[in-house]
Amino acid sequence: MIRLRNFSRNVLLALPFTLSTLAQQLTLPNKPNSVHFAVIGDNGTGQRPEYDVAERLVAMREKFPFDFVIMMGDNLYGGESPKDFVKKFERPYKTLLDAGVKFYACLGNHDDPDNQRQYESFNMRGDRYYTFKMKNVRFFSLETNYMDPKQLDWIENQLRTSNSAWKIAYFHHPLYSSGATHGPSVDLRRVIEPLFISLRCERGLLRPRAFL
Amino acid sequence: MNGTVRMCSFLLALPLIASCASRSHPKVNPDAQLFKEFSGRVKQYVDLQKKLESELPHLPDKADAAAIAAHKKALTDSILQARASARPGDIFFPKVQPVFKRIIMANLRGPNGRAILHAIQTGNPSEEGKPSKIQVRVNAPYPADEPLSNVPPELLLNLPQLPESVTYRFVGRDLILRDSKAALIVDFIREVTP
Repeated sequence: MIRLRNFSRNVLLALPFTLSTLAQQLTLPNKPNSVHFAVIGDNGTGQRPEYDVAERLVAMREKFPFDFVIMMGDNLYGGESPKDFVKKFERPYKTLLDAGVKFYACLGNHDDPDNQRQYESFNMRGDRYYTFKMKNVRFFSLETNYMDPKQLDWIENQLRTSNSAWKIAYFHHPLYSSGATHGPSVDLRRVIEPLFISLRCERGLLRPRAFL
Repeated sequence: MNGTVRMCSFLLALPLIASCASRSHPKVNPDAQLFKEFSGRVKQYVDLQKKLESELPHLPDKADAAAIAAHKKALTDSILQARASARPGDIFFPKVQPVFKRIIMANLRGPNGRAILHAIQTGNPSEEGKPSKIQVRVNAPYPADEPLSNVPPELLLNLPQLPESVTYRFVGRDLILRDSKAALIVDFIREVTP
């Protein structure tokens, strides 16, 4: 009985490692001429785990050559002095930045909107919310801390007038989430989900709760 | 003209008389008047902010973090100097404060009230589980290492719209007007949420 119990426990302990290995062996479609990008979020700590993730991104890029990274907000935690930008962004992602990988940020609730929208390497071009196109994909970076009527009108107009084959909106606050701490943003969902559905925004990229 | 004709003429003219009377004394929405004054005071603040910023060296389009920080500090110092005598109620003047409170409470009591309150508490510096460093007072800095509360879109639809460089935020139960460029508290209303 004791042997069986230990065996069961060992199997249960081994399961996460097995799943992790399987995830790392996952083969992405990686078709030529497709749009390759990576996604990070809640990353701006400047601590060891952020560097670990950055190293994984570099390794992954050898198999999956993404050209840009979208940042899902909380790009910098704590202060935003020039040293913080170095510690929490420029240094961890130096290899990618040196390779010409661009980062397109959206704003989280820990991000100073005025600082970060002007910071060149976040490619926000001075705007809280903005759009850019990569081949046949139109990306919309939204600022969901402060979804004012002007921004709502903007995204509606953008979605209505875009004729891109793919339309991807990304933002910090998940419309659906089972996370215990913050949960879903129901107030935002009520207002923005109907737009996505009616104007055929195929993908609303949501920040995964337990990601990075 | 006999009496019958005179009476008929009067009766026919009555709607026209009433219409003219209502046009000369239109009903005024008191909330709209107060919000108009509020928006005027906000505009005065933003005009001052723009004027002071225009007197600073221009921030280049492709700015690094050091240039952004220096520009922000210079603007903040200018505003603090220009508004050294600013007091609570300069923008959220006393008569408009109950209107803001009423609108916010109406939203919180509405069918989506729970979701709206949850959104207000998300990222709220005094609700994130650790003590906030923010002092809610006019001209107080909003520290860069403090989170910003969400302001629910339904609430923003019902409150006066603000220029881009000034936003509503919540700190605990207080509503503040935050200067986005200088990261300062411009004015506030205490205890607008339960």
